[in-house]
Amino acid sequence: MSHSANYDQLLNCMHCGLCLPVCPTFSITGREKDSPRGRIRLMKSVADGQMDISAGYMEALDFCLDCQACVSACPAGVQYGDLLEHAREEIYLHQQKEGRVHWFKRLTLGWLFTKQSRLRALGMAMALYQKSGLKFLVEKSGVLHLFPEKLREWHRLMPDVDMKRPPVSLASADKKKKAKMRVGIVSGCVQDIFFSSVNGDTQEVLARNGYEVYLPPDQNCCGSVAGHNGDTATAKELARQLIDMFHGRVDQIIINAAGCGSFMKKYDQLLAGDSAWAEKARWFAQNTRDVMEFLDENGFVAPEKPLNKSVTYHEPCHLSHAQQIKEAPRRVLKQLPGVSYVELPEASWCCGSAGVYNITHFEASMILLDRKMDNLKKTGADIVVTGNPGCLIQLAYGNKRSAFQPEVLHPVSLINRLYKKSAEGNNDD
Amino acid sequence: MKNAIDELKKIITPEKVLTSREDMLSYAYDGTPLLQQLPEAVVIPETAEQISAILRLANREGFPVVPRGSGTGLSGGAIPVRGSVVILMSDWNRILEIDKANLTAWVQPGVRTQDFQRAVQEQGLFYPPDPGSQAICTIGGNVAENAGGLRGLKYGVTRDYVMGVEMVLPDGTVMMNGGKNVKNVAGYNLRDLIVGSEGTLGIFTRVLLKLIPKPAASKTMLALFDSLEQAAQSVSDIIAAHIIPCTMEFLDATTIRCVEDFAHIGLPTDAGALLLLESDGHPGQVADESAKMEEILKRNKATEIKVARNDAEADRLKTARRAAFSALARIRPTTILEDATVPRSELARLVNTVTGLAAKYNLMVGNFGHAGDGNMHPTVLTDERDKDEMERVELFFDELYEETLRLGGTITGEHGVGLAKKKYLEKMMSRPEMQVMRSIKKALDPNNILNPGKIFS
Repeated sequence: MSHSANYDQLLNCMHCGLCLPVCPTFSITGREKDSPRGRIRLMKSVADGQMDISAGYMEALDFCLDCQACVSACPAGVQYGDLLEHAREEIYLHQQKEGRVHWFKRLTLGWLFTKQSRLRALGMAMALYQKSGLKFLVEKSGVLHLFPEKLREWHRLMPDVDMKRPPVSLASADKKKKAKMRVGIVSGCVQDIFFSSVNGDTQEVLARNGYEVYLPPDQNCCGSVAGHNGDTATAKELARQLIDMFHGRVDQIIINAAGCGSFMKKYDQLLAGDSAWAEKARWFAQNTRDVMEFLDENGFVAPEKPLNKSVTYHEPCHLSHAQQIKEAPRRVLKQLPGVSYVELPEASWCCGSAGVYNITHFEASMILLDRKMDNLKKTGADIVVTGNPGCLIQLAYGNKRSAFQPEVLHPVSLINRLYKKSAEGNNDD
Repeated sequence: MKNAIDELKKIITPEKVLTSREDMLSYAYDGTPLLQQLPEAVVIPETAEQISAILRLANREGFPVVPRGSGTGLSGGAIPVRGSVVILMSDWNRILEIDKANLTAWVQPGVRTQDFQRAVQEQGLFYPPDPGSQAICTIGGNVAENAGGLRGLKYGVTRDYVMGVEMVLPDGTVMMNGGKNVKNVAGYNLRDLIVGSEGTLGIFTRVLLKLIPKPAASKTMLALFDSLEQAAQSVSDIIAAHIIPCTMEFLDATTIRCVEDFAHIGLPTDAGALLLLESDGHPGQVADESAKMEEILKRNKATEIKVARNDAEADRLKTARRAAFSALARIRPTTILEDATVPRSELARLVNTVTGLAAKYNLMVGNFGHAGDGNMHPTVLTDERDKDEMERVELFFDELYEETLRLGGTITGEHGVGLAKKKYLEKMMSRPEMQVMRSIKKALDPNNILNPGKIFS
C-alpha cells in the first residue's frame, strides 16, 4: 500500500457516512457513488489498482460539484477538495497520455483562460450580440425554438456583459490621513467580463475605508479553472504570473470571488515544490483575503443612510466550505444601517452554479437552483447577496425561472450602494 | 449469476438493477473499519411483492441477499457477502402516518432517523432513539441493529419504540406483526426477535413506532474533570442518588481534543475528562434534578460546570458529542471503535481496564461513550498498514472483551454482532443459547440466503 500524503488522506476517510446528508449530488440520486464517501472509495480503488480510470469513474467524479459541503461536515477532517483535485489531475494526465482530452477542454483550459485578452475579445463579441439588438431579435423571432431546449436555456443563462474596467489605482478617500495599507485587487477572469462593476465597488469601498487600492490591468485567470479541471501545469503557470503582479507592490491581496480566493489561498501548496516560487507563493497565500473577510477583520466605516430593506445571504461554497468563512459576511451585513437580516434556510447548500456545472450538468444544476429559489422564497427578502460571480449568474438565472425574484447583489456592491446613497444625501444638505 | 441478474431485471425495472464496477465498489462497505466485499448486484425494489419475488429467486438460484439502508452500521451488518445481491432500502423514505390519537407512526424503513424526529417534533411529539449517525442512518437499520444513542439511559433504545413490523421473510412470505395496542400478549413476542435480527430474519417494509409527548423542559450541562476517575465516580454517584438523567456521556482527553478540533465549541483541550449531562421533563423536576447533579459533580472536583444557555447551544454540544467517533479519525489513518458494555456499577473498572491495556499493548486509544449505560466505545487509533501494530490491536481487543465478560458485561451494547463480533459471541453465550438462536435462523431461513455469515460463524 502506498504511503503518499494523498493516500493517507484516502485512508483517513473512515466511511462513517456523515457526509452523505449534506452532499447535493447524493440528495439528487441517492446513489452511493454520487456521495463523497463513495467517490473517495472509488479514488482509493484506483490507487489500490482495484479499478482503472474508467469512463464510469470519470463520470462519477465529473458529477461532483466540488462544493466541499462534505469538508465542513467531516469530523475526521478529510480534505476532500484536495483529493478531488488530485484525482482530476490524474484523469487529465491519463487523458493527455491517451490523447483524449476533449477539444473543448483543450480550447478553454489551454488557450482561452490563459490570456485575459482572449476572454475580453470573447466578451466584446458577446457585448456586441447583446447590445446591437441581435440578442433581442433572436429571442423575439422564435428562431431559438429550432434549437434543442438545453441550448435555449444556456442562451437565457448568459449574463449581460459588464466589462468597463475601473481605474488602475485609487487613493484613500481620507486625504488627511496616511493610507492604512496598500491593497491589491485580483480582478478575476469572469468578473472582468461580467462583473467589472463589482470590482469597481470593491475598489471604492476599500478606498472609502482608508486604503490605497491597486488594480493591475490585464490580469490573467488565477488558475482555478485549470486547477479544478486537472490541468495543474497551466494552473501553476497562471499562479506564478499573478503572484508576480502583486509581490512587492502591495501589503495584502483582496479578492471578491470565492472560487478564486479558495484557489489563491492554496498557492503555497500548489507551488511548494517550486523552489524559486515557494516563498513568494506562501506570502501570497497568507496575505490573500476575501473582501468580506477583510472588512470583518479590519472593520469598516458605517454608511450614514439606512437601506430599509430585508436582506438574506447565500453562502458561496468556496467561501463557506473551502475557506471556512461562514459568519464574517453575516456579521458585516448585520452592521449595515436599515438592513433587516433574514437567515436563508440551507444557506450553505450549493446553488448548482459550480463553475460551469450549470452548462455541463444542466438538469442536476437546475434541481439545485430550484431548491435554492424555494428557500429564498421562504425568506421573502428584497435582496439576496452572495460573494461569487458563478453564484451571482446562477441566482440571476434563478429569477428567470422563479416567481419570487429578489434583487441579486454582491455584498460589496450593497455596501457601496449605501456609501453612494449617503454621499448623495450629504450633497443634498 | 448472469442468469440470476437477467431474472432480477424481469422482477424490477432494469435501471434499478445496478451492476457497474463503480456501483459495486461503492456498496462494498458500511461504517465498519477494515471490512469490505463487493456484491454481484445492487437492486432497488419498489414494492414488497418485488422483494418477495427476489427472495424466492434467491432461494431457487442459491444466491445470498443482503439488506442495506444508509450503510452506517458499525459491526458489518450491511457489508455484502461473497456472490450476494444487495437490496437497497434507502429510497423507501416516506413517513406514512403520524397518529396523534394513539401516539404512533407508520414509516417506511428508509426514513432517516433525524428526519423522523423532526417530523414528530413539529407535532409536539418525541421519538427518543438518537444514534450517533442519526442525520443519515435509517429507521430500518436502527430496528435491524436495535440501535441506541445518547438518551438510552432514561428512554431506552430502538426496541422500546417498535410496536409493529411488516416484513418479508426469507422464503418470500410477507408477514405483519404487532399493532397499535399498548398491551398485547397474544402468542410469542416476535417483536423482540425481529428487533436486532441484523438483517438475518427478514427485510422490513413498514415499521410502526411508538411516540411519547415532548418533554416540557430540558437543561444540558458540561462538567470538566482533571481525571477519568473523578468523571467515572460522578456517574456512579448520580445513579446511586437515584437520578436518571436523559443523557450522561463521557469523553476522555484524547476524544475531547479531537472533538474540539472539529467542532470549535470551546472545549478546554487540557481537560482530563468531561461529562455531558442532560436532564429533561417537567420544569420543576429538571431544576431539582440538575441542582442535585451539579452538587455531585462539584463534590467530585469538577473543575468547571457549564450550562447551555439555550436549545441551540445544547444542540451544538450534543452534535459535537455525536461526532466523537469520526473526529477521532483525525489522529491516525485507521480508527477502530468498540462497544464494550458493563453493568453500570463496573464502569470505573472498565475505564481503567482500557487505560491499562492501551499501555500494555502500546496503543493510542481514545475512550468515550454512554457512561450512564455502562456502554463505552474504546477506539483504537492505528494504521492498518502497520502489521505489527495491527497484531497488538487484535490482542488488545481480545483481552478487553475477556475482561468485559469477567465484569459481567456484553461484547456489544448497541452496534450488533455482524461480522465484527462473531468470534466473541460464542465466548459470551451459553451453548443452549447459541443452539436456540441457530435453530430459529434455520427454521426461518433453511437455505441460509438472508445475510448469511453474520452473527454466527
